[in-house]
Amino acid sequence: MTFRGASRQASIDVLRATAIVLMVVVHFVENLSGWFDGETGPFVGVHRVWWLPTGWAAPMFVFLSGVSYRIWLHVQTSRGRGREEISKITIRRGLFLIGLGFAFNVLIWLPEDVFNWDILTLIGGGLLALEVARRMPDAVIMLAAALVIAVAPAMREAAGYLDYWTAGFYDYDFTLADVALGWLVTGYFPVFPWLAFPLAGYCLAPRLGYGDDPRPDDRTTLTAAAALVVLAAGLVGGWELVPASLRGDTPLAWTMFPASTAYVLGTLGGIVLALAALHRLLDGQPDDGHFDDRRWPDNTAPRWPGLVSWATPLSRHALSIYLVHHAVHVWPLWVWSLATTGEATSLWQVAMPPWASLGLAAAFLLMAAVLCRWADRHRAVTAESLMRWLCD
Amino acid sequence: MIVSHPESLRSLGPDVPTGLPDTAFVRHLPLPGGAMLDVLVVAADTDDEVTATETMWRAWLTEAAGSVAVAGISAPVVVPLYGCLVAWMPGRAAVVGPAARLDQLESAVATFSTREADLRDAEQRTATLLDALETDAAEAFTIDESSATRREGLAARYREAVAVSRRLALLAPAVHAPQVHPPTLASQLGERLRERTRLAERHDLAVSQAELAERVTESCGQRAADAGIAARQTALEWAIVVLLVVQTALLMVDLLARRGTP
Amino acid sequence: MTGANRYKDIVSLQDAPHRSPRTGPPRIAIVGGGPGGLFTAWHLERLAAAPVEITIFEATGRLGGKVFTPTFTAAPVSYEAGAAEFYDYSPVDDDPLRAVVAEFGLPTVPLAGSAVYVAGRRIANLDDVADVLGPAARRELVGFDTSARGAMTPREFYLSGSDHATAPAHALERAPFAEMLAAIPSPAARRYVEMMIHSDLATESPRTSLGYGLQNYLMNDPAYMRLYRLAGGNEQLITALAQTIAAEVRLDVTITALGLGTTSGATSGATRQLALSWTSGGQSRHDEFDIVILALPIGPLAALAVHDPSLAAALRRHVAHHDHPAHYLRISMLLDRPVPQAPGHDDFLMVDAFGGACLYIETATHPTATHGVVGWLVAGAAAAELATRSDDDLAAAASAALPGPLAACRPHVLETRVHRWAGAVSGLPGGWAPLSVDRRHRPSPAHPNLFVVGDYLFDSTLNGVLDSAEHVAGWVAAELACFDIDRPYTSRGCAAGDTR
Repeated sequence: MTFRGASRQASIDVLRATAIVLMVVVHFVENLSGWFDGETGPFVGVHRVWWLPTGWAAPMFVFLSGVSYRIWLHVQTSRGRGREEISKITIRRGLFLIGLGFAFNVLIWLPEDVFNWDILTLIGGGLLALEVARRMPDAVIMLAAALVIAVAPAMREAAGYLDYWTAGFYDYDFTLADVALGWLVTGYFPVFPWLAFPLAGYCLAPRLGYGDDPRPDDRTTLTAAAALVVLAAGLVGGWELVPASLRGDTPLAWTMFPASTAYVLGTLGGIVLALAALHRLLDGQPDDGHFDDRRWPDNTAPRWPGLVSWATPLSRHALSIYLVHHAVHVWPLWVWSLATTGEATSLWQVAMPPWASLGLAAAFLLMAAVLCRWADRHRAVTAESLMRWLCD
Repeated sequence: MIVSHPESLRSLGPDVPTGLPDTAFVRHLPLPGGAMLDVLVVAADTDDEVTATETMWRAWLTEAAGSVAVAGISAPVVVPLYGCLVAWMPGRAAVVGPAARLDQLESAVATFSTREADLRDAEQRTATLLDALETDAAEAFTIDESSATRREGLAARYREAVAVSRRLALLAPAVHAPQVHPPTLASQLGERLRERTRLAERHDLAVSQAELAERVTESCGQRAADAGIAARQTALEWAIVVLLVVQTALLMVDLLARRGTP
Repeated sequence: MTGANRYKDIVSLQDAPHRSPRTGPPRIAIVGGGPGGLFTAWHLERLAAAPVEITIFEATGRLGGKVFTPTFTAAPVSYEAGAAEFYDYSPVDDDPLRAVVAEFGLPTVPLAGSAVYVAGRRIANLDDVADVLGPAARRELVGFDTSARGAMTPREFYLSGSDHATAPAHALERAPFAEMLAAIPSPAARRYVEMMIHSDLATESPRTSLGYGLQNYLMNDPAYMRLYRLAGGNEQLITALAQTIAAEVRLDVTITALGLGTTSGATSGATRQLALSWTSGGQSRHDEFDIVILALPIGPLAALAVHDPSLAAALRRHVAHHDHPAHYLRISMLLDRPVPQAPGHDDFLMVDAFGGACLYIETATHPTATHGVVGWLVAGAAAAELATRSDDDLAAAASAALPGPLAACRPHVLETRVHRWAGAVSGLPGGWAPLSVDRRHRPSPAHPNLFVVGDYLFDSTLNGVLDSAEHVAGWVAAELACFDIDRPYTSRGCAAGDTR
């Protein structure tokens, strides 16, 4: 579908809302009820299957940040905004997200005395990288993404990744070297290989039907995405066959921390296929006979408008939800822990059974959806509006 | 051009105007590009008989004027010759003269009409090319990624400009043919029809216009090729930059790893 | 026309200054105010590197010679009494006359005509030839045409008469044109060709060379040459020339004698001036000039008295070599209504009347014409014979001879004018070898400051006289390039040490 004006793409909103749901569920369940590594609990033997879909939220967010940036760039260019102005806004937004990420880490994880590079700093850094990358031909951007994925295992080996993760979480010394390594390789969402997602999102957006010169259903893209999924599945299935020297620091083929090659390729391919399918299913065409009375701003009507009408507010306020959902479940955990045990982190991952944390997650999501719609109607101040106000 | 007169072609098309001799008929001749030429043929042995038919053929000719829009030819081109008369408009012609001369006159009219139709088609195609010229001219100077979508159109217009130029080049010997001497009736008629319809001048103008269109679209093509080469060079340079950055990052990680403490 | 000074700088005879010929700008006399004299003055003024003093002597009261566009009395309608058409050589190469016309900004009108009336029947193309004369005649004419074009290419046609003419062209001068015509078996076809070209030849085919006859046949082929006239009258060219030149023009002055001038005060080696004599107001006048250019037809040239024996002999030889008189007679008829357009819109018809004459339809295409003009051009022996008749006889004969479509004009003739041009052109007979171009124009090398200009030195056309004038003007200008205003004129060319 040709992008027109500033109308939102239902497919992107639904996928991002899906990521939000996954993120909230994973964080609530993981932080309040713990991670099951397969030995005990009702998820024994199936933990990889249970957690398989949960590892998709972050890649979705980061990939979609690249797609959204491409669309935003096209809109700004169409409106006649100058190159210099676009650059300034991009850099400001990138720095805003990085700064917000630092502030978020300090405010949310302070009791853990943790200063981490996380997904916000990754997305902010991705924006800064895209500010440079958008000057390159798409083929070179894909090359960069491929290189980022390809060299990540070697970099982890060189940096001694596992040495920073002996406790099952990222543990580092607050030195310049460790901080830099954490940003590049060893942290939660390091540049290598996570930068590949926004780069790929930016590059593939037109081939998925978004942005300038849209070419939806581009066969090459879909074939390559399917190939990536197959390759990832092959790596997972045949990981035992890979020599130990090549397996390096990843005992399992599919891991999020570190982001293994199979994980990166598999999620990348899967997200592309999912987005292509959603685009075809949801994003309305003026001449396909599926018009609905409820018109979008660009006079095209998506299918399943009910689903979309709930997904869009969530998607629109993804940043705010990210910040708020952490505050909503982490800070009460600190307070409750401190109050009951005298130690802020003592109830970390053992505060309640999974069904309770799942219920809380659902309640939060429902409330978030309602609040987001309210915020839209009343134009409330949100992290997104603050970012636009400061940076645009 | 006309070797025989198949009876099946006679009297098709528009009816013979009333008032003309019974021997008068209309011949339907095909022209290039699917057009047709209706030729009203009237035998008249004396100048008075030729003059007497004027009202009928003039009305028959001018009723076709509205159906064929040809710039600069809104009235019949009338060529009185030696004991004959030929009146011509795009799509229709009247040939009046002694029976013994009618074949030559028809042949000359048909030959001329073929060439004129060819030229008119080339003129129309050239006019279409010129319509796009102003937009194309911007890309004749510089071309960038935003005009990538127009390249197919530019290429098509270049091919069309070359095709039109070729057509005009093939037409040139006939249009600019020197006068025949000693003349025949057919050659005299052909020369006068060419002169009265300004075929040579129109041809020269169409040639210069086609050349202009060809030059602009060729320039656009050259620019597009240059842009493609530049784009590939740029991509290569950026690829080198990316490789260098990644290499630098690798070196940095190695360096930092030796200094960092787990 | 006498009594009306139409040209500037015309000086009365009483006011003619007597100047010392020894120093000052070179003084040049041009005898003859026709196209030859005017072209010569015009070119010389443009080519001379330094000021020259030119005087044109004209025996009649008007300039222009054979280019004459007078007006009828019965109505203010002009007609061509002399040259009716100009020749356009631009299909082949540069045409100097066309360039002059363009330089003056004179509008031109193309002329064309295909029809020849033989025994009252019109022949306008090969189809008519086959119908009227027979298929065999058509074949013979096509063959004759092919031979003619093979004998003289357009380039050779263009160069004929000049020093650049090719050897085959020179060979064509030796045989009479009648020999080539005799190769046409059919008498009717032969007569057709003769009628077609007779008025251009101005003479009969046995009396002209093969080359000249071919030229006058091939001039009908547009690949060789085209015809045109000046819109508003051909005399406009004369008027434009006269208004442009700075030369002093003396009308109604007949030069009676040519001689050598005095050399008082001359240093050795100085060229003796030439003296011209004329009678004015009952008194003899004379003046001396550094250079004299005789731009006269053969007749007046032959009648000029020359005092110096060697000079006289040279001029006699010159006249004898070039005296092949051919004749024209113009009969112009004013009609009280526009002339009906000829079939094919011909501007002229060839008619077998008067031994083969051309009939010009001068006003057929004029959009606002209220009158019509037709003009006969009779040539050769017929012109000479008819010139002896009275104007009324000629008017009746001309009216009776009007062919087919113009016969209806007979009752509408308002006025007829006759102009006799006896000996006005040269017939260029077969076997006559032209001299080199230089030799033609300087009849006496011993008198290097005497030149001759004339159409008879080329092809008896306006183009020819322009070539002649251009040649002489360039020659004189080159000689004058070494002229020192403070020294006596010499025509020996630039001497060593001359700074100019």
